[in-house]
Amino acid sequence: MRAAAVDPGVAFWVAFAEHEGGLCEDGGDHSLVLLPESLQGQYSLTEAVVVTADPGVAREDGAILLAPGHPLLERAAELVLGRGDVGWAHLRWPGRPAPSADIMEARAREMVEVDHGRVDVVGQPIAVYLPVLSLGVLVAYSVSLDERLLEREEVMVDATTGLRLPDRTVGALRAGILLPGRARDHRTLDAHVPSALASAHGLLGPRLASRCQALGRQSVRARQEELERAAAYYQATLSSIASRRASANVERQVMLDAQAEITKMERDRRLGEIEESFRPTYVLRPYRLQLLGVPAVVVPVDVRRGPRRFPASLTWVPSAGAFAAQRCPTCASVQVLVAAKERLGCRGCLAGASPVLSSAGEG
Amino acid sequence: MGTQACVEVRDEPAWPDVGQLDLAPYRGLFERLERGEAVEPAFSPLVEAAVGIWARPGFDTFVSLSRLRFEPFAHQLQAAERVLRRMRGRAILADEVGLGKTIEAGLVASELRHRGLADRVLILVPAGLVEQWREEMERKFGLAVLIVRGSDSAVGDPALIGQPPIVLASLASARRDPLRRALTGVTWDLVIADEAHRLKAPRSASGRLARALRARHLLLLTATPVENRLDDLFQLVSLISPGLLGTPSEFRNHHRERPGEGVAGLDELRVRLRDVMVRHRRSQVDLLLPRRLAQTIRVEPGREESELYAAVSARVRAEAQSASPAGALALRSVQRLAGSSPPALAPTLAKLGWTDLAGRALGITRTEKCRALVDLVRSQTAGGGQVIVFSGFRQTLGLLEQSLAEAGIDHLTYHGSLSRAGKELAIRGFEEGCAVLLSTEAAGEGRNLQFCHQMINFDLPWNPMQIEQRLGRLHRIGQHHDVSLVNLVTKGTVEDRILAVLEAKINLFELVIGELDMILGRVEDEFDFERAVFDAHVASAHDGELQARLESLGDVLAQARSGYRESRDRQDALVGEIGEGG
Repeated sequence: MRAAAVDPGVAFWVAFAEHEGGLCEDGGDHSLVLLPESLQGQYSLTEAVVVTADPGVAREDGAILLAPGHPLLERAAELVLGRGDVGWAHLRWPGRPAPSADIMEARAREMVEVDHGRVDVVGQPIAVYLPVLSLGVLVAYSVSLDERLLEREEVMVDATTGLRLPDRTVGALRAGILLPGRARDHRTLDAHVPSALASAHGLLGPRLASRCQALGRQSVRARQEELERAAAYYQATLSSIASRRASANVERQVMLDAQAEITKMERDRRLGEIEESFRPTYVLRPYRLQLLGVPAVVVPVDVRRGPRRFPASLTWVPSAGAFAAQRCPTCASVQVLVAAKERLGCRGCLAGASPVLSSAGEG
Repeated sequence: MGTQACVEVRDEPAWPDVGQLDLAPYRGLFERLERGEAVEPAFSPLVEAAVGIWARPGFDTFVSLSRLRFEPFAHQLQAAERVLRRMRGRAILADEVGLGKTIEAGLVASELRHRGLADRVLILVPAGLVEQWREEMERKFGLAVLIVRGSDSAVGDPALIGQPPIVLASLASARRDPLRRALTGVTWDLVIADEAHRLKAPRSASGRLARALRARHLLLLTATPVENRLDDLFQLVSLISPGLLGTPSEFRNHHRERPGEGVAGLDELRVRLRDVMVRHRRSQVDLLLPRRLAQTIRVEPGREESELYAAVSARVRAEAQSASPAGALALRSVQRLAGSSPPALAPTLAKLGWTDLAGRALGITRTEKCRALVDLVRSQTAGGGQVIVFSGFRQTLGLLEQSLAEAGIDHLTYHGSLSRAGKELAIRGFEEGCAVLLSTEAAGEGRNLQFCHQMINFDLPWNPMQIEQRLGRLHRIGQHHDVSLVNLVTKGTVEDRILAVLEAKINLFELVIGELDMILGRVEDEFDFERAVFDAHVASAHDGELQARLESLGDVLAQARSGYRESRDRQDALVGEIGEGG
């Protein structure tokens, strides 16, 4: 690892230059970068530049001090974020074969809860890729006129169901090595990309609103102080007008009344402006939209209730060590499945249906 | 679904209605995905890094931490977070000495800079701390610093906007034109004032400067926010948050101080101070340093050495009577060099045209102190130990190199004139086990030398702050051993007398880190100990008189120390610890 690259700013810029075709040489506390012509022109730099994060090196050797906020850093970051991290990729399917039907059946019975039903595996597990939509956005919060923040939010959803992956699974997926493009060795389950994106966007909403609220609470005091200052100012003005009115003639009273009216209007406007300036808002800037093929196993099953059988399929995700959640085949919500007499539903959609009798030997 | 499923189970609605999604922010990326574009694996980490560069999260996250070249303490991070979140960048940092107010201010500055909220930063410090602040900001925070003095006009240069260095000035030069005019003509994003109790008096030059500066964020650093009167505190708080404590008369009426009864409304005052002040006390912070074990070896000089020193002293005294300020500076240097090593003095004497003395100096090839050093180094390094030997003079280092080489002692040399690569090699070699590092003051600025815990002062700076700074190279956070310091002084020299005075009057080596600043700062504004010593030296007809003058100087320091300690106790009584709940 380059010594100079220990500084995140220098590391980023050097990597950026290399990505754009530059050549870099580590000099310990600095890096010598040979820039391609495109970057030389774009940034008005010479072919060879020395960059560092050490002010002493910059001073003694005339290197460029890539301190936070340096235009070179900012512009490169802007360019990279503008391009974004987009496209299809997949994680390599492990070399070992898909687990056997017996193993899958045991796992399904242990991990998948179905009221009044029992899961039977009815076919061979099939190796597939589960499409997962990965969304990353920068959120520009405006907490007050002089307080603006830019934070990142990321979410991953199963693109076949639009359901958010838990952090543990996300961690496991991030640790894997991404291969570019769609996988060819196994089928990728059908993805509903627009719906998955809508789901991901919808999942961000409450998070951002709650963050906005939390940030707003931090500026409550400043807001209150400003409101009080403004209110006190207008109160003093109105008091002064009132005291002058008390000893004024009728004609002057009319004029002072009008002045008081205008002052009140101005006060209301100003107080509104202050409220507005402290109203937290946010704007999204997406920088990542990936569709990741995650190795998975589709297991054809029947959910059995006595003699009745309801065909379904489960998706096992080896890297998560768990089955992907599924929506209810009847109402598409996410609740514990219920094997009813007539159909396979969930606790949500079957709540109003005829009560299910539980009896020994069933489920 | 089941509790172990790989999506979180909750009452999620059915698929959202895609028609209701405003795709506009996503359109560009979405279309590329729809076209089947493949992820570029090399580009993903770059995007990740760009997000790090671009993001400006809330102040509950420190974005600058990854760029720091040290590990801040929890109380320092906590202080910086409070200043940024609760105090919105305007605060009095009033930790007890030695707890790292500079670090706390640096964290705030660094954090604001990373977020693009502090392009224009001004730091005002006592003259003696300018270099120390530059070093801290550059080495620890990687923030470029421009030191401006009276004649600098760069402050107002628009070229500085965009990527400007932090402007650092001594309070003494900042409060005088033309620098004052330049500094007050700019709107600063952040102003940091160290030893801010000097700004409390509204009518003093420093106080007027503080009130004329325009700054969005303001940090006042002082371990003694209340020096004498409670009004001191009022003045400092008013700089940070005018009106917080009411008008001066309201404050005085509300918090009247009566002998024997203390301050009225003290609890209420402390509550209000929580909005503008952070103060940690040593007893409540887990910050322990090993002991300093100081020892002085007084070496009896040889007859020739002794005679040469006396002759040089007499010549310096005589010449100083009519010397220009620059000439006096040169004479001071000669006198100090004479105390370091007479042989190293010869070239300087020759340059001054004192050829007779230069000849005598050249005749002394080895000094008794040199011999003592070789013996000492040999014993300290016998069991594989390492030692740093400090000298204030390059010339002396040359002599020491020769002596150690002749004694067969492995050593390396470090001084300010080496190239960066040369310095790097010397430090690395020492780190890798070389027994001795011979060094000037420049050694180890910002470097980790804590693996070594023995040092020798071959000569002694006349400025006690420099003595403290040398010791601070080893006696710092990360040092796990007691630090052994040996001062070598030749009997009868000015250094011998200075050391005796500093030890006797203020227990120099027993002071807590940072206390010496406080003591010297209380003597008088712009007090220069080194110059005071030299003035005493040249004003004295003989050594007895010099001794008496130095004793008086020591009494002044002792008085300053008492004043400081009284003041410290007063801070405890009045403001105690001001923290989140305290």
